[in-house]
Amino acid sequence: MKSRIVVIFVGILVLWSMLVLRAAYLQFLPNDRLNALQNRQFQTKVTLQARRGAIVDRNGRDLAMSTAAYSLYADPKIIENKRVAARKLAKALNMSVDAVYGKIKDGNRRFVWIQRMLEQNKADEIKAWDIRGLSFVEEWRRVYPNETLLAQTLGFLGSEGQGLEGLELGFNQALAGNQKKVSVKRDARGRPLIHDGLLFTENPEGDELRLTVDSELQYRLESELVNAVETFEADHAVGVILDAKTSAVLALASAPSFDVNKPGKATAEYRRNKIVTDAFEPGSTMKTFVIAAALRDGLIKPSTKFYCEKGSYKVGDRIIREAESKEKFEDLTVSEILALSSNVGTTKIAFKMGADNLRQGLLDFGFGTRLGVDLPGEARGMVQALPWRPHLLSNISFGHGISATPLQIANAFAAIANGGVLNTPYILQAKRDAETGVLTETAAKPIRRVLSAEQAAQMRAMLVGVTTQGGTGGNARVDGFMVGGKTGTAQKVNPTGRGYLKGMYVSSFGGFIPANDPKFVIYVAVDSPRKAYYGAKVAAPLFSRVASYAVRKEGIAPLLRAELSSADPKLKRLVAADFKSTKPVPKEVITAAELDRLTEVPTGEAVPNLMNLTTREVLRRINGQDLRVKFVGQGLVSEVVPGVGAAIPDDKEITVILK
Amino acid sequence: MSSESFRQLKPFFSILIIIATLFSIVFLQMEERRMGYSVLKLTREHKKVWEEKRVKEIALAKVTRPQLLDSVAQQKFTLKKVQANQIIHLSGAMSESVEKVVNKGLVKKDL
Repeated sequence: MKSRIVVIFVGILVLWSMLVLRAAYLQFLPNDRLNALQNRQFQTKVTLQARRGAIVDRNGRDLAMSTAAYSLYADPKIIENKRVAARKLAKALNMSVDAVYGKIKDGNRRFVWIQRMLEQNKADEIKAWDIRGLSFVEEWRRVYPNETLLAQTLGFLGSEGQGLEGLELGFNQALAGNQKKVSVKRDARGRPLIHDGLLFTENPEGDELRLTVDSELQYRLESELVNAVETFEADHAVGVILDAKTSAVLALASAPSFDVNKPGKATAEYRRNKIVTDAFEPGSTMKTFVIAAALRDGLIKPSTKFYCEKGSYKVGDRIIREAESKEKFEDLTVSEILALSSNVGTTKIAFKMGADNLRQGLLDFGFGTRLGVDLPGEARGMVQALPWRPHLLSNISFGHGISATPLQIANAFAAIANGGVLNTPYILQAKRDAETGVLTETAAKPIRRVLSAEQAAQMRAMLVGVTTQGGTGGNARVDGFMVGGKTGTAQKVNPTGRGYLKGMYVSSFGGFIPANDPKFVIYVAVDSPRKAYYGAKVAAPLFSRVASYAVRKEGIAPLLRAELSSADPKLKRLVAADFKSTKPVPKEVITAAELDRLTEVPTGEAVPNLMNLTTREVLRRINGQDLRVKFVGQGLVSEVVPGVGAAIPDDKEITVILK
Repeated sequence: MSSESFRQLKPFFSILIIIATLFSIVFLQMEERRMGYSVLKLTREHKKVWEEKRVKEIALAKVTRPQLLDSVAQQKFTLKKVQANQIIHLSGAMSESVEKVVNKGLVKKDL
């Protein structure tokens, strides 16, 4: 008996030992085949699609966001009761039963989309039915909460989530981010297992873009453009606002716009970002840069006079006329040529410059080349190659025979406003890496200096003259602020043939505010207005409304009557006459008409540029002018009071400070 | 219990300790797995809540869009767009002058 027990015990022991040895062999000895089998059974690769990065404005307001959405697909082969499934789905998805059944009736198909981009609650409801053969894929849906705001600039996505237009296209790679593939262990039911304390369920994110755009300013610009289109029965209107110092884009719009959540419902015409993609003949706004280039080359001064041929000037076999036949100008200073927008005067300035110099000047101001703005589809505009025939030179001097984008024109105005430096406009303020949180900020990118600080100041003073009473841009004035700018009324080029369209114009106004220390450069253009067409009537008031809002929003203090004590004596005298109130509040803003009188620059009475001259040279320069000069200090002129280009005081005395 | 009988039971205690240790290891591994599932569940809930938050953020962005605020202000509250001349400007210079007048009056009274 005992020996039998021993035999059984030994037998069991041997069997157990064999099992343990086999287990140890499988467990501890390396075996590639078994490893591969194990990996196939317990390991899975999960692809985590990156959530597309958000786009926000300069104040953090969301402009484009992504949210999870669930796309429902079916494997018709394994759906058991297709009729019942179709009925349930049709009710939940608000579709017709036939439409759903049509998709799933073919039992040979293994994959068919039922509906894409469903909300989470809808997906949860369908999941709860537990119908075999229905599954979901998690995707990201792009949402533009502001609908039409900044639509053309933001752009939109295709059905597969790729950027097709605007910033979505330009920054597609950064916004899309990188999808993450992770290898995770799973259990018998396919659930991922915790590994090293980590669960790989967090989706990676694309970069967040912070724009320089201010959405409130953007909205105001858009609504004013829409008003202008409706009021003047125009085809469309465009507008751009730049930071005067850096050329950062604060707003850019084209009206009519479209709901960027439904891009398919808008035509390509509405979806295009015309500010950067469309070049057109700008008209008289171009005179600003012709004069600026001549001033830079030392060929003219603000007080240089030109005979304007009583409004009619023969160039080759053509006759150049002023915009209105009643305008029969004779001797005009350069300031007046700009203020009155004389075609003949500008033609004469262009002839004085010559085609080479004028072309180079315009190229230097950024025309005819891409500025390098961080928006896709930028047009370069056109500055024709030399040689130019005389009438072409003449046409180009007043903005025909040349084309430019609204952004190029605004940016060239910004160069005058900021003291003479042409910058690259930009819309991306910063890019935040969602993974690391690192913020990469965009800095202003100067391209070149196009004017000296003094020349830019002279140009600003002349452009203020345009908006004073008598100038063409009087309607662009804003109470309490000095405004500088230039009107433009250009005939519209016939897109299908030669010449211009009869009775079709592009009315525009480009300028800056406040002119004494520019903060905003604004350019607006209205295409084919039918109720009026002069830039002075159509675009200048539009500029005024936008500019008025911009300075108010920025909190820039207007010139107040009560603060005249610190202003110059002339200003004080003029305003004190009709201001008797001693009440502390409210302070009254100086009206545009009063500002006109204060900033009036009579013909030939601008303070000449005496900078860096010796006493002897100053005396030689002012010889023959009705001026008394008070010298302070010794050496070269470092400052002139009042400033260069400003109006000469009533007492005809200017102070020159030498150092 | 005598030391002799304790010595005889020692192998059993050793085996008991080994078995208890093995059971503990298995228990801990099961606990780790169970907690893993809890974490997975919570992670999914967290993700769901996070997505709900995003949806609410989108809804907030939609209801605070300038177009809507403008139309509500104008149509529901019959407000009009602000005009530049409706803004009251208070200047520092005038505040000082007013202060001087007030101070002057006080000094006279004190005297």
